[in-house]
Amino acid sequence: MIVASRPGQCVLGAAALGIATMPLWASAWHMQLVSAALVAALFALSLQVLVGATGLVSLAQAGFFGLGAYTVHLLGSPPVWITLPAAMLAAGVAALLIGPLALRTKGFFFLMTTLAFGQMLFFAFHDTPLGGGTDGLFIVRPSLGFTVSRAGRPAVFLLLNLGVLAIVYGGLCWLMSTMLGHALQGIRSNENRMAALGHNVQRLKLIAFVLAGALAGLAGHMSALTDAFVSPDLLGWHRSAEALLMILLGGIGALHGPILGAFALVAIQEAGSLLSDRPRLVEGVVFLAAVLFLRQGIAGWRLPWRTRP
Amino acid sequence: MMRAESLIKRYGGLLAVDQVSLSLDRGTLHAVIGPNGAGKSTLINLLSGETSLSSGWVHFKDHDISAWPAWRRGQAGIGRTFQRTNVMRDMTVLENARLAAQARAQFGLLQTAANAKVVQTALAALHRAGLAEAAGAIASTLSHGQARLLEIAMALAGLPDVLLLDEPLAGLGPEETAPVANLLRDLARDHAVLLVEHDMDVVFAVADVITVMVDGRVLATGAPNEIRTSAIVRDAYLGHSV
Amino acid sequence: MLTGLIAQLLNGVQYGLLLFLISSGLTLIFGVMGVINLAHGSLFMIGAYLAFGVASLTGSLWLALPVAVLGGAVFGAVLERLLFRRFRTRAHLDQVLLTFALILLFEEGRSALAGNQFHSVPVPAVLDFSVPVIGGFGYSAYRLAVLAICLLVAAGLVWLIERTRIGSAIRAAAENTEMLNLLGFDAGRVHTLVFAGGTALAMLAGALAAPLQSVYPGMGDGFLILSFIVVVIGGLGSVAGAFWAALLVGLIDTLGKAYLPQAAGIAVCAMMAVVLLWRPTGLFSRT
Repeated sequence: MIVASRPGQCVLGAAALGIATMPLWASAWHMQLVSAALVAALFALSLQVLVGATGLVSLAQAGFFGLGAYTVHLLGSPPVWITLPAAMLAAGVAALLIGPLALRTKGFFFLMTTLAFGQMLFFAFHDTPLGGGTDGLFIVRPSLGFTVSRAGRPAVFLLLNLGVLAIVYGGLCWLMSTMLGHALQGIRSNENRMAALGHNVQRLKLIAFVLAGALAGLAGHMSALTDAFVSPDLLGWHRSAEALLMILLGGIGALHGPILGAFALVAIQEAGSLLSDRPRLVEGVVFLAAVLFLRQGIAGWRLPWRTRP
Repeated sequence: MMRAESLIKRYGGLLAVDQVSLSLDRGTLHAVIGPNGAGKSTLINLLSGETSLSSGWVHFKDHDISAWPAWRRGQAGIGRTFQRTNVMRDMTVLENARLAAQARAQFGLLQTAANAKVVQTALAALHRAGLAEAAGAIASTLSHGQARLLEIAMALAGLPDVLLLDEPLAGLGPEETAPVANLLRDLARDHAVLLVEHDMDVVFAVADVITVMVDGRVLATGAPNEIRTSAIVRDAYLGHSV
Repeated sequence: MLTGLIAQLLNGVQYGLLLFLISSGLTLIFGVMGVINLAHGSLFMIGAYLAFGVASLTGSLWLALPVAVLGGAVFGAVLERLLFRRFRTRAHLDQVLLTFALILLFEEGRSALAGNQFHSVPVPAVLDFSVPVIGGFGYSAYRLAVLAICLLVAAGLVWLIERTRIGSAIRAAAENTEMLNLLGFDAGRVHTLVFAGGTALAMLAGALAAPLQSVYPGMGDGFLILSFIVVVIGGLGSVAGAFWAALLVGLIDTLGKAYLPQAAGIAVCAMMAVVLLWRPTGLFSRT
């Protein structure tokens, strides 16, 4: 997994600084757009723990995302220092229950079982009163511990999302340098050999699955906090596929790939709805082009800061 | 050190390994020879846990490990190499060896992967296998000979008590064979080694004990001289190939 | 109560047979080509819209069935030649994204051509009556006809796979792609054939289902998930496995929806979980 080298991290840092200064110069609408991209990046980053780092392609990720979002609503919006860990815990526990079953399978079967389990979470919210109706519902935002005016909201949530993303990205950079991170990459590369060397591959994969689930729950929590809206669609597998696309767009071999991909996808969707009345068509064409031609993702473009793994 | 009793592996109606018993001891190089399809690789897979037993027992140190999965055997100190090079191809030689070293060492998973002790173990293994100068190379760029050495180095980096070597000389040229043969002899000083190999000159030069397998069964076991002069072995096996 | 149960059981079997038409293609396409086709549910949707189109233009659903089968075969062959062929050896992730892109394009195409409303397709007049079944209640003749057609197709498929030369090639390819060349088959043509056949089956299922339920956007989604579960339970590449698993899933889903609507979606997934715990490669897999 390519953790950006020093110049690369400087560029990422500069971009983060640029976003942090947006409240000084950008419109509320632009800040909301970037906020959405930050949440999407957080979600895609959680999936990269499985896809890029461990070599597991899961379609259950949106289920954990939605679970994190609904946790805010189901707890009745207590203060944020309760909802945030609770969302991660709920998603993590769900991943801990689903993981051992799904990880009994490999490859194609893993894809299909994660799809089915993800949809099971979707149905749990779509078909029952738990989800508050199929169209979703507006929720009360948890208190942040200080009062935020309506006009100040875009700026506050922008900075909050940026901060959470930065912490998670930093944490994952560190994780990739630990023995756990290296072992996961070993599994991605050659699972059977890792087992022969004495690595408990199943346990390592489960750790990755639960960590990814908890981080997706965190992303869902930030989404509920930012939009004050939850709906069963948050858990649908289309969202998981979109996150996979962000990873592919940004670069599967780079930890910062999903972040680049999330911004690219939000930009494409925005441009699509500005330029045409069929934004999904634009999206579909871009997906098709990306999967046909963009094998290494944006992070794989030959840029001076690209480092060897 | 390691003892196998009456191992049987059945694939449908086929007996790939039939009633094989053998024991491995530190300081002894035990070679297994036999024609293709005799069940030698299956035997290694049964000992390392890659393949599950149909019946029989494997003991290691004081444990019955017959039901242990491969990773647990690896962690307990059973190292192996593969007949076909089987490494993390997109990682460097050192990273491959480090992953081997960290599997065995009981470190916390959240310690840095560049942990001094792990790196030292990995480098020592590379050095012993004669691969130290290639430490920074990506595994997929190695020559065939170097890749065979990386197989051995990875097994060594796990600090094993038992080494199961599946045709370490496969595909090596004559000038590459001699150093590996010396390495095998050297490894047997402080490990219990099981060697599956087709190169008879090397086997007879380095082995302390030789087991001959044909059609999944043990035909004979003995010192190289006994095997060389055994009429049964000559008729059944050496007869066609030598 | 009892008559209701019998009706639901019949519905379940009929739903399961439709599921079989979809999942047999899915399982063969993966077994033979190694390609994951998430757009398979969209092909079902296209079949339903095609039936709606043909039925509203000509007034005959019977015409729609051959159109769906032939159209599906041609469409599938084109898709295989143009796109899927290149993705046989690509990573699963790429296949997922390719087929997800196709879903978006198919749904947009459907939206542009047929709009986003719900449509209903009338049951053919010949079959618009009830057949008395045990217990004195009437069961829709069209549903019985669907049941019969699906059984015929299933029997034909099993005959094709088990008894013919091309069937033995497909079975061999599901085990090992190299086998095709060894047996003297042109692997590329077998792939095209399998993909075209799978597409035709999915579109036939859509056309048959059109009068049974509304024709609406995203109608293939539910079927896609259930067919995936069928393939997991039945075992990859196994047509017989897909048959029994489809019946099982169809019954559980139908009975669940009838008697415990909140839990129907979960019940099927829970059943899959049990199968995975017990036999991770499916009930009918050879390994």
